[in-house]
Amino acid sequence: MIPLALIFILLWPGMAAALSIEQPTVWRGELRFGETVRVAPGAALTVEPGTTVHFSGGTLEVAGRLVAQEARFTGTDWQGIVLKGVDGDTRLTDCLIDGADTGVEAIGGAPRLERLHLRGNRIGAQLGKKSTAVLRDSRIEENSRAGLIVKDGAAPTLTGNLFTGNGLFGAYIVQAKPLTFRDNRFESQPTGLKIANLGSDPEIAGNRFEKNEVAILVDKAARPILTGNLFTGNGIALHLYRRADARVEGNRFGDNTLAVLAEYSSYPKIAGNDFTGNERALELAYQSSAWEREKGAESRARESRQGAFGQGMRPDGGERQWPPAATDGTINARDNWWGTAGTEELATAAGKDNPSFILDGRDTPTFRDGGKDYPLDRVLFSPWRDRAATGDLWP
Amino acid sequence: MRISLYLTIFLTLFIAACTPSGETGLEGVVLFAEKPLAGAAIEVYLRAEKDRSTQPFTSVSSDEQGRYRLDLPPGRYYLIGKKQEETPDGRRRMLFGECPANPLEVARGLSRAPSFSLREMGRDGELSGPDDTGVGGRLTVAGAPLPRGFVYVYTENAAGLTGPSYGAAAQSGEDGNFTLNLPPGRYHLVARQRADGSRIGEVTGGDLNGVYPGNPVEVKSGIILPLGDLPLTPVDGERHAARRATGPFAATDTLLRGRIVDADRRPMAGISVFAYLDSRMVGKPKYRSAPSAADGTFVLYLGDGGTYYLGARAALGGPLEPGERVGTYDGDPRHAVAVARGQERDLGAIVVREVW
Repeated sequence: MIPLALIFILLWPGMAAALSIEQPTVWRGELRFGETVRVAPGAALTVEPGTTVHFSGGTLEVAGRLVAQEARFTGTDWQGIVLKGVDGDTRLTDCLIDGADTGVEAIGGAPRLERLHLRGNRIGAQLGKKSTAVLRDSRIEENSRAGLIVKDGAAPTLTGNLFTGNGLFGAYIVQAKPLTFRDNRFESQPTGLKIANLGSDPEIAGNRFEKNEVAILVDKAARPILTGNLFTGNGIALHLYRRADARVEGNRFGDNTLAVLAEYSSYPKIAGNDFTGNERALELAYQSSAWEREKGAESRARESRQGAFGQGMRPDGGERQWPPAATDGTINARDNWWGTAGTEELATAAGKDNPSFILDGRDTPTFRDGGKDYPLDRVLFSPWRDRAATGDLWP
Repeated sequence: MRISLYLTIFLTLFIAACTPSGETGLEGVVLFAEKPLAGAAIEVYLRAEKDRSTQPFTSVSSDEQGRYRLDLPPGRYYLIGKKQEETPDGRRRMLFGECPANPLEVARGLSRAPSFSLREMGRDGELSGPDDTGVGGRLTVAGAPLPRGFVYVYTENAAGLTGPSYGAAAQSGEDGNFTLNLPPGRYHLVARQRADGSRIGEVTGGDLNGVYPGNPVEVKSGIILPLGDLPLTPVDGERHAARRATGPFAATDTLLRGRIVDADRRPMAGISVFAYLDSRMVGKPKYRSAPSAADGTFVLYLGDGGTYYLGARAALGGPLEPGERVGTYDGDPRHAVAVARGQERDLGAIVVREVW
């Protein structure tokens, strides 16, 4: 361990040993580290504009304070920047972080991360342990797995970010509820935003999802409120999977292959949305109240209780905490605008009985599981709106 | 006459041989509020998992002096004690406790299990006490009040006042003060504040740690015992690392070594290897390695020989998280490896995959 002196300015570009920063320290120029650098509690590290910090292993672990502006943190086989319980005095602004396992990770605390460029990491950013970090106006792109993971009860503020070209997920919220999730943009990803697990019930408002294979995937009893979002040019705009009882209100779904897919005991409330120009507006698959009553809890328990190593079963908790609501074989999708063509179809006798833009139990009465047929649920679509309600969401 | 004698000896030996446990077993005393507890059920399990929905291997009741005796064949056992009873004021309560020395080894003869205390369970499984009974104090660091630190109450100190077996916990307020309602009894208190603000988890360099200097404290009915200050000091990273080397990662002469790699055979750092005695590989492992090094290498020191089931992951517990790397030892379809006492085995590569 090499404690650094007060206001020690590192200009030496050589390879440093493991460091513990315990006094106020400034970094400037080009620095290289081969292992972990720790900023101790009470210590402060300032990284000046124009600085480039290379890591060839290890991590920059901050338990004190880090202030970095217009700097680059890069390297190979390095773990990234870990912020442990830091407060709002830790600020990373206009920085590029690349080549790391996780570009920047906040474990608890409330750092401010603004106008960052997180590129080419395995995971761009990760916010956990009840962190109330602020991540805004950042460009999070081409990370090989996920742009952002929010977990462990974190309640960050996430606004104005662009998630594009990330390998699996733009952002992934699991057992967490962002305080604000607004004005973000998701483009060209296998899944733009995944929201999973009981306890994940954030409000996702005013975001734009474009050209993703799946724009939003809601899974495993997550119950978000999706409102005022624009979905356009996606394969599936909203995929509700495994008890995903989302509230879907006031969104604009346009020009998607499929606007909403509900599967496996997902009973959303879908109201006040505009569905115009999608190849199909709404589709149900493996969705049956009878199946849910007979096999739902047992099926989910098999999955959720699986131990980490795939052998034994952990104690069950989720189903007891939140038993499924009684279902009657219907999905509530009343009071939506189905577009001009859809509304014209609904005016016909055939359309009123079974509109072509909804695929449900009227089209496929049953599905087979375990050698038994189960009735596919039906969508309640009447009454419907006679005009669009989300005109201001058009691009 | 001689035939009769031989027959007697033969029958005696035969009957002794047919006794399932012979003269091996465990004996001990169970307590509540520092006093012997009569009528407590002492249950014996073969595995460590907390889910006690399975039937115990066997069980006995404690006598008037809190004593119990269990005839058991040689092996390792997990003991818990419990008793449901009615208090003098007509309230039903559940007493529960695990023997802190679990698992207990039975080899030859009757082994003495350490005495252990049951505690009253609250609705959330923690110690509970009336509003007018318990402890109060103030957390400090360098003489100043420490807000948002955690105070932990242990009923036993055999396990070193660490780990998740604490009976109650409270967080200090902005002024560093805390109050904990506890049932009457004797307790050990420690306090910690982790840099990431979390309530549980191993402390590391830079975290704050403190043991109440007046341990154990005696809580009496109707009194909030004033403890004064409970000082915390920063954990020294180097000393902590040195202490870890004598703790669960202490070197032994029975060990497994190997390398953690991903599917592309690239070395993976920061992955711990967990050794379970139970093939289901759930709950708390018997042993775990320190996180793998930058080149993926790990050493898992074992306290004894035996058959262990091995898994590897980055987190120390809980459900898998997105992006976490996890794997098993796949040199055996059951993920099992047998190692003799004093043996070193090289397991080769353990492949971890990402979970999404």
